[in-house]
Amino acid sequence: MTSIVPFQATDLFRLNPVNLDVFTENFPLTFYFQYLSEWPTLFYKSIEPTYNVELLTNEFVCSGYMMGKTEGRKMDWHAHITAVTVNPAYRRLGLASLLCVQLEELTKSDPYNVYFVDLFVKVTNKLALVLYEKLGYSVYRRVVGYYGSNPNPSVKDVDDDTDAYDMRKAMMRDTKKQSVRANGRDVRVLPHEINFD
Amino acid sequence: MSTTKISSFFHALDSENPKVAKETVNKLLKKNPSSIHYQLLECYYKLKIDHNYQEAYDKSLDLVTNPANYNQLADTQVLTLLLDIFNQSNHANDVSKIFELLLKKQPFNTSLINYWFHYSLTNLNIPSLQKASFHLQKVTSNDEKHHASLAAAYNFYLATINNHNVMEKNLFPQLGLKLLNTVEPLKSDQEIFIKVKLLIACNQVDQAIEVIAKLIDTKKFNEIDITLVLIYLELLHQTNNYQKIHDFTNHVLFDQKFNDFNFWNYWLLAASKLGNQEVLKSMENLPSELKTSRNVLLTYINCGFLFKDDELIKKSVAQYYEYYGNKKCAYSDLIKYVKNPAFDTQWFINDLLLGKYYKDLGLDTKLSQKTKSTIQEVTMLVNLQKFKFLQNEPHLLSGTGSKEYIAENIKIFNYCYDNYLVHNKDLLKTDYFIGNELLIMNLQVELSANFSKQSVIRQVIILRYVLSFSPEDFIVKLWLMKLYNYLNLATLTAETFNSLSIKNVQIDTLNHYLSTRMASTFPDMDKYINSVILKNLKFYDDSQHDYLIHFLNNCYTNESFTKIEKYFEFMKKLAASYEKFYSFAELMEIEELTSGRTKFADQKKSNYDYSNLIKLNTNNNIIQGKKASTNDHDHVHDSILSFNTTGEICNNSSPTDYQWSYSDNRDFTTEWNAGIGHILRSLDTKLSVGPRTGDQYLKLKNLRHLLLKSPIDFDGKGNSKLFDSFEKILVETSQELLDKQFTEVERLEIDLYYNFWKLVRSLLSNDKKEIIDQQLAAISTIFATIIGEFGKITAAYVDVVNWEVAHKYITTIRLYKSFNKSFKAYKQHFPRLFNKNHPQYQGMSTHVIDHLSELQKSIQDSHNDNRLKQISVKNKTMLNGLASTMITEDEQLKKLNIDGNFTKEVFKVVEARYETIFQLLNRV
Ligand SMILES: CC(C)(COP(=O)(O)OP(=O)(O)OC[C@H]1O[C@@H](n2cnc3c(N)ncnc32)[C@H](O)[C@@H]1OP(=O)(O)O)[C@@H](O)C(=O)NCCC(=O)NCCS
Repeated sequence: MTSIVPFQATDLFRLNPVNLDVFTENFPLTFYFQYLSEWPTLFYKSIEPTYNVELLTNEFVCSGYMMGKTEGRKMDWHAHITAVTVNPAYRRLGLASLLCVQLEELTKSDPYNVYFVDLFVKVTNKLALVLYEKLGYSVYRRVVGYYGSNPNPSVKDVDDDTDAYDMRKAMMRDTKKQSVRANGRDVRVLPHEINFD
Repeated sequence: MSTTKISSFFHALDSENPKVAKETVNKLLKKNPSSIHYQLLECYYKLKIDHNYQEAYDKSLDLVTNPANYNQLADTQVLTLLLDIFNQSNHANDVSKIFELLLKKQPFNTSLINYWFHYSLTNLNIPSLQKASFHLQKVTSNDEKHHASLAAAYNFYLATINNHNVMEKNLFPQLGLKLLNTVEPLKSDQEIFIKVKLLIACNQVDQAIEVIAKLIDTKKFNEIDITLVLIYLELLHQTNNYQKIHDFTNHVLFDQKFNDFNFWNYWLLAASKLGNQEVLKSMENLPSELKTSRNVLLTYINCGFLFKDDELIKKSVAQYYEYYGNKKCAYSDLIKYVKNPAFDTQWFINDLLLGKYYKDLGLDTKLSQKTKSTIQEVTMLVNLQKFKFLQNEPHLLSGTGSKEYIAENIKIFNYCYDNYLVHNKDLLKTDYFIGNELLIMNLQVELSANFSKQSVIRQVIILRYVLSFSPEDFIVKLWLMKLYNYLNLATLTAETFNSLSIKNVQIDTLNHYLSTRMASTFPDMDKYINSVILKNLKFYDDSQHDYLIHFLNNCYTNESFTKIEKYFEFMKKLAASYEKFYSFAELMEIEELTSGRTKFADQKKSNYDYSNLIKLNTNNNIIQGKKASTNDHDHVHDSILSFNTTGEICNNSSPTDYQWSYSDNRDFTTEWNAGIGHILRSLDTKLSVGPRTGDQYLKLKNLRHLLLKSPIDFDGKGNSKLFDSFEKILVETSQELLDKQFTEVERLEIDLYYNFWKLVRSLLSNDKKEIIDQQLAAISTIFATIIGEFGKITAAYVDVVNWEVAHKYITTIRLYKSFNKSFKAYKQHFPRLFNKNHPQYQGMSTHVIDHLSELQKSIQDSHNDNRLKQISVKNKTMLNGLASTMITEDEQLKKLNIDGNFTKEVFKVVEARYETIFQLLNRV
């Protein structure tokens, strides 16, 4: 019984059931606030009514959230999934899919009207890869050393543990589907080459 | 102006060097007595060091009222100092008046107004912000006018909801609307949001509905900010406009295919109000992919309850179970119904779950087989066990019942482990093993039914075993920390805490696992305080405030108005965080314990600011105490439908309520989302490190600390006002509530000080002998109890050491040290009262001085008798005994196939940590 509602600053006090998960990053406060202040509609959460048997009251827990943004120019104008994560107690219900689809819904037309949606995912996060592929995303390029700390990386230093896939899904506006490609897994770039300014 | 001198003044204050600060300001004033800046520095000194708020405020006010000073005051450095003095002396309301005065001379000084805006934002001063933004829109022109007017209009709304003044509450939203009229047509949803909020604040609900309705009519559903849509539904609900709710939700759910539970709930509500018999038909005719969605199936159950149709309830629950009985959410989804008196629990458990699903699973035969299992089957089994508990709660919490239940859970756990987990080890790299919940259920049941130190240790072994194959299970780790804390194994708690990579805002919600009564249970500087606690407390460093304010300001510049209200609330809750003030209060106690040899100057500077503390502890509106974010809920008792249209999990009242009261952001619930869950939460009272501390606890603790700084003169000034607050809280809080927050020895400490201070007051005001005798007798009794309790800390009474033993021991010693010191200070301060010739000296001598020596002797005796050593020997013997029985005979460990060596290893770790505890206690 999921509802999608806007994320608010005070929710940060109640995120432990979602954010204690090791695979979910806990960002500095400023990061969350930047998203709240710049992309207020693209930062939302899913909530589940719960029943407190101790107090006999209806309550709500946060079952997941989406932090999204828009960036880029011209044909690169797109929505980006910065974080999508789901409370382990509510996984395998299609919530992550719902949160992603909602972002597409919000950004495929006015006021955003983006060409595509993209995200980065660890090459080893098989589960998330399946999730995104099911949703129609495909690998656009492999970002070598995206999660690593090598100051002088080279595209030859391929490493599943530190590389990310940049995955994309073309939206309606990209009529010729120029934002995606078939052989993305073979295209390698370095982190600094990803720049939408 | 001497910049270096001025910074050395502030540096001296920061490094707690008041003498140097005083000399610096005197020198500056001597050089230039008419400098406003220097005079303000002197006021600041009065405020910070003398805590003479009134004088600091009065003197600065004098400077402001003289127009000749305005030029100097317009300098932002000088102005900021003046404003800070006003703010910190509890006159934040005057901030706007200062700007208004200065603007009288230069009404178009845009940079001054901008500064006003930013200063108000930085200090989260909403009334001042409202006025600043109103001025700002007046002086901005053309391009920026539109934007400035929106901000000003929004701030009228913000100032309205944060206002207790009836006149302003009525006036502000009207002024806001008027201002918005000047910038019509409104362009974006964010702009419309302001209008809607102002209309609601003006009680013009119909107009607010109309504004959103127009938007809904003209825009596509997915292009409208969901915030507005949810407000729309809420307003329609408020005005009983069910036809519109019906039409709109029908459109959203069926045409737009927005499958959202809020909308289903409203849809159903409208149908029930309109007597719409078509509901069931509509539900039955849904497209098949929707029919099996969780939202729809639960709505179906709600239909059954709403129409009081038992058959429908059964049918819909059975349908839900068919699709979601093998998902983890089944238990939390259904518990509300299962606990409803109208629900046929026996049917649910006996017929549906045990009859159909257990039978289908062929459980009895299956559990002994070796067949590969699926996650669905494993989840189904865990859910069945949870529901089974509900059916027979009293029996399962009895001695025999709990044993049977625990054994059954272990059997199922082994099945899940052998037939699912071993084949899916990869899973644990990215996901959780739901089978672990069976062992969490066992922990909850065993400790609720049969609490003992032995069972706590057994559960430690089991959870450590779980972590050996599920190293990332955070629920297990949270429980493990609770168990370690009970046993006072703080360093193990810290290791587990660190393994969870807790950081940023999580510190505020979870640091309590480490900080609760740390000063009286594990005040270890090297392994604990310096390396863990102080690192965590850096989160509260003021430096991030500026960055956060930057983004709050961005909400205005980017016109993200829908986020501002809660942003303010967040900032205020963080500023008044209970955990922050609690942790620092604990650090202060460590200073007390080490007689000031340990100093936390750096932390105190920024976070434990004396003036903040005084405000937090004395402001009237906090005396009642206020619960903040934890356990906020929508109070829809016994209602089946629940609405959360505004989308705020934290459903709090206006932000200003937190300005000078603690905000309790601590999380005590996450670990209870697993296993049997909240039904067994009373276990927390047995397991936690003393009673859950609350508002009164922290206020009394902080006030005691402040009152220890110097003797109270009881002259109606300075700290005698603090004493009044202390007394007020103590007198006005019920004994029951105090007992719910304090341990026995903590209560005794507070009572001892209170009675001693009252005694001094009576002596100073020459009260009647009977009164003084009563106070002396009370002190005597308290001392006797303290000494008696301390005497019980012997090997004869103590078995396995837990937090309680350490707490009592350390608190008594700290109490002796600090009371003794304080007593000496009073003796020095009031030589007349403590003089042998004073008529009450005899009483004082027998009831206070003698007892103090007796306590000292008692502590000394405990050292001479090597009592700690004896306790430690007994502790070791007990642990060894436990280890050998658990390794060879423990039913649970055996059934779980936990290797004897594993158990031995856990005991080895635990024993080693106990040695640290005894070394620590010996050093106290
Ligand atoms: C990845 C994650 C977001 C998935 O959330 P979710 O709500 O369970 O995902 P969905 O229910 O929408 O799953 C969609 C599909 O993904 C795949 N999937 C998701 N979880 C899976 C699992 N544990 N095992 C196998 N496949 C899985 C399945 O194919 C699933 O469809 P199905 O359930 O019909 O078989 C969640 O596991 C999570 O929060 N992980 C931690 C944070 C994270 O890794 N985020 C992604 C980083 S980019």
